[in-house]
Amino acid sequence: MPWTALFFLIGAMGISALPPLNGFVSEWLTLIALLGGALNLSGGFAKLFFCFCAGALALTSGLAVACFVKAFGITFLAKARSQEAKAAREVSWLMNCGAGFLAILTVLLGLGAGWVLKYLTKVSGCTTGLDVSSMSFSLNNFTLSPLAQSALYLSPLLLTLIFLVVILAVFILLNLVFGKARVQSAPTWDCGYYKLTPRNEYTATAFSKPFRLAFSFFLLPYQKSEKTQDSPYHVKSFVYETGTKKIFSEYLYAPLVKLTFDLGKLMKNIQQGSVHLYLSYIFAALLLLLIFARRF
Amino acid sequence: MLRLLLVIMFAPLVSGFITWLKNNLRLRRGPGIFQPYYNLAKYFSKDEVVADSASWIFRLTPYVVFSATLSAIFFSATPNGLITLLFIFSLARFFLALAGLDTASAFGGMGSSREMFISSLVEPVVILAVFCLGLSVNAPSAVFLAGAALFLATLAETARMPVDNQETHLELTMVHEAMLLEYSGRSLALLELAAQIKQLIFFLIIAGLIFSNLFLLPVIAILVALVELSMAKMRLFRVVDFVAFAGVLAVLSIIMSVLGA
Repeated sequence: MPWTALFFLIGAMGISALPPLNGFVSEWLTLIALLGGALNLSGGFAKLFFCFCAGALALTSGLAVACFVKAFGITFLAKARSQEAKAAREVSWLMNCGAGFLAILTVLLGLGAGWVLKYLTKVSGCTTGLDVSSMSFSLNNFTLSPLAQSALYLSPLLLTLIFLVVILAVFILLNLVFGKARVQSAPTWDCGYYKLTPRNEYTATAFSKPFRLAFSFFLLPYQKSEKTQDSPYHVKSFVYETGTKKIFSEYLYAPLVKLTFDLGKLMKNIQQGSVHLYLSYIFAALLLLLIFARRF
Repeated sequence: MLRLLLVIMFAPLVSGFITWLKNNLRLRRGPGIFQPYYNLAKYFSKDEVVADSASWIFRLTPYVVFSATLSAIFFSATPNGLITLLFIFSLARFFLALAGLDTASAFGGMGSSREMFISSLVEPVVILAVFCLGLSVNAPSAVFLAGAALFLATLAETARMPVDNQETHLELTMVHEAMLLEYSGRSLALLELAAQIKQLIFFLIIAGLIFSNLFLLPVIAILVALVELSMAKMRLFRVVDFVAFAGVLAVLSIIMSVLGA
């Protein structure tokens, strides 16, 4: 699925805040804003708060990159890990249009961030009442500069240009100096173990194992293993299961859902479906309201 | 442009110097100080073998990593420039980790997994240290602490001893090397050179930005060599403590600079 993979890769790069895509621009602006806050605010606690926010953001973005390396790498790269994956075929062009449209937007919003932000700044200036005229997001040089006079700027377009020029220059130089690269294809090194099958590959579970262990205080991973033996010396089958507790659904949503249902059950007691009973409720409510109005 | 050429020229020398110093301190007769140059020249002129299960990402990665690392040189050595630099290194790391997974080898996947794990922990440390640099213009002790935090982060980022072992031949203990395992020839040369340039950039950041004295560069290289000699490689889950220690240093430096300001 070459096209789907390409669009997925662009999306994954965008959400991992990799230059020069849109996620990069927004995260860069956020970090610069936090830095500006830390530098320019006067209160000590405010400074600390901004610094720790930046640290938390950096941790989150690092974890996001890891997550999407896993998502893209395990799904699309290397040998097919299942029969279904092996039989996967490119989807119809109509389906690719949707993903492609979003991927193109990701690229355009990154490269043309200066142009987009020129309008977004006006909106945010209006809603927050701050003076945004010193921010320059100019169209001619495609640079972003939240503070006009300082050396604080970024140009995603220029950055991309540098990337491309360096890649091309390196490629051409290498070909000139050392000649054209002769490339052979050979099986992946298998430690002399002959057949390397997809079962030898790293899986998503294995990939995220360090994270599960390091953050075990929060994720609460569990392991279950089950052996069936037909003799003390021979294991017939072995089942191993691992996973993490669903913290939010178990400790936040489940109690909320239970509370709602319990309250509903309580209310059911006074709702029997009899019109006479409802009329008497209305009468009682009216009485209570009248007494309330008289007294207070 | 001159900066670019200088960095490319000197990056292998720093690696060579550290290896040379380590071997001398161990009273071993190791390769000469220019060995990385010979290695690179050899790799560049060799043919390439590409795993048959690899896709275009595997072929593209060396160029992306190399050009990203090179373009990092263009950024100014200010806190803002450093923040941008981190994003660029993260682009290089993203592709390198994908290439590690791409070859269908278990070692490559292991390397990518570990690299992403360590780097996601190191990133906040670097950001906090950079923020401290911005905050404390005239608080030398805070800057020193931030420099210490950045030094520990550098050890992790440049695959040095307590975190990773560059000398190992055992795949199970590799982190950075495991991702490069399937590379050969020109691609391997590009990736090695990129790693050396990245190391030089980190050393330059510490020397130039924190102690504002570029002549400290050899001192940092000597420090790295001494740390590598005196420590054994940590288990992967002990690295969490190592990085946490660096994080505590960075947080302390920020608190100090806020109190001092």
